[in-house]
Amino acid sequence: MYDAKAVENEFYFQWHFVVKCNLRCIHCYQNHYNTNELSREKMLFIAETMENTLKKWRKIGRISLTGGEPFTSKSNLVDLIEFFDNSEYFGRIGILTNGTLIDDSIAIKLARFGKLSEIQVSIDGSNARIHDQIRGTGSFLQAVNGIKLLKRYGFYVSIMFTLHKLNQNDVLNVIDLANELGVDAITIERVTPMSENDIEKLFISPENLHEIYNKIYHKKEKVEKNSDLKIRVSRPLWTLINEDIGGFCPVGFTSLCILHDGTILPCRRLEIPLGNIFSDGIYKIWYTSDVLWQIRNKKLLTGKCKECTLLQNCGGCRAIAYSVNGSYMAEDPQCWK
Amino acid sequence: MENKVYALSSSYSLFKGEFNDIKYYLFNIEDGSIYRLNEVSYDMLALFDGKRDANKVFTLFNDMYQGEKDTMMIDFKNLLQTWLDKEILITGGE
Ligand SMILES: C[S@@+](CC[C@H](N)C(=O)[O-])C[C@H]1O[C@@H](n2cnc3c(N)ncnc32)[C@H](O)[C@@H]1O
Ligand code: SF4
Ligand code: SF4
Repeated sequence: MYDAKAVENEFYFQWHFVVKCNLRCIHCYQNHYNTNELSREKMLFIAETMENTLKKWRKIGRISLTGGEPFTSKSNLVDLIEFFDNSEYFGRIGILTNGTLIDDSIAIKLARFGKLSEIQVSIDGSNARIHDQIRGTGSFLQAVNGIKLLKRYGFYVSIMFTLHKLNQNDVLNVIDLANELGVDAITIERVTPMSENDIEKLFISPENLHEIYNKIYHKKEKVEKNSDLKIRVSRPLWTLINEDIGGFCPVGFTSLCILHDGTILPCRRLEIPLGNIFSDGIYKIWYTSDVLWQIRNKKLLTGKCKECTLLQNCGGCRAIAYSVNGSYMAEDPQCWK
Repeated sequence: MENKVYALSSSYSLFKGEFNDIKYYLFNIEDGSIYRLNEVSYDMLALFDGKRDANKVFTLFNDMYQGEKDTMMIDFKNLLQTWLDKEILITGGE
């Protein structure tokens, strides 16, 4: 059951426990896909460190297990979910996946975990032509079949649509697809360009983004009246469309990202290593990182964000500011205000 | 007062940040404990840099706050003892 008070007291970990992946998406922030996985003992150490932190902070943990592709490492995935499912310090568990490697046998194994509250599948186009251009030949069909299978087993399934120039005209069709597939929610997230080349190929101008967000919002109003699909709009910039929606990003406040080798980042898309969970633990990083203290201090934002009246409900994306403007305290380069 | 040099234990980290108001914290980076400090305690702790002795720290502290010297010395000694007992400050420095 959704408990608003519990959510308020949540701390979110995104754990990329594996780097291996069967796909090579053009926008992917990873630049290598072959590293040995940690031993089970080391994975357990990470899980227990998170648990101890939550206990100390009296927070309820929410965890997303991801990669790389988490289903390339099915037995570790199941074991980790089992750990978090049994932990009194964790509430909700999620999996972020490309959806292409899901079969009945793994779905059956996952169905027994009561806390597994969401499986997010990436869909980057409403048809094979657009999706496969980004994610590789055959991946659309496999991901759609993955979603259908998960829905048959009764999972709460969401779609993650990563928005950029190559799929910007298809976003409304993906919402229709989500509806047809009986998906429960869809998140539309802007790409974080990882290189100059990405900026050139993928980056959408503020004016275009404004137009796209407007269309999505109108679609949302219609779709949510007529179906159970939720179109999530709790991220920065949405408040420019309607002041009642949007939200300040939890980075630096109630979330951390852990990579396969224990490196800790503020967010997977903000690639500034803060330390390593094995050598530093979580407390030292959380309490002493300059990067985190700056991000927490809204007064240190620069550019348009600094004096913005919508700041409390927005704050822009720090990762996109960093990758495009070179500073994680800069204004969001896609803001049209 | 003894002529000893004290420093913040490596298990702790001091923090001062200017948000809407100025916030002062002492963090235990090993067991995760968080202590909210007032400005006076922060300033005093920050002066123990592992180089100055306690007398020098007191002089600087007294200059900062300009209180009546004897009363301040009593408070100073009490606070110092508390932090030593809790092993927040440790003897010695560089
Ligand atoms: C890295 S993937 C890991 C899980 C799985 N392999 C997948 O593709 O869903 C998690 C999500 O991050 C998105 N992503 C990857 N690179 C990104 C980038 N540079 N900017 C924004 N999102 C990105 C993916 O599209 C995917 O939805
Ligand atoms: S499936 Fe996920 S991890 Fe793999 S390349 Fe695509 S975005 Fe990256
Ligand atoms: S200026 Fe910054 S805080 Fe204001 S709406 Fe734009 S991105 Fe959001």
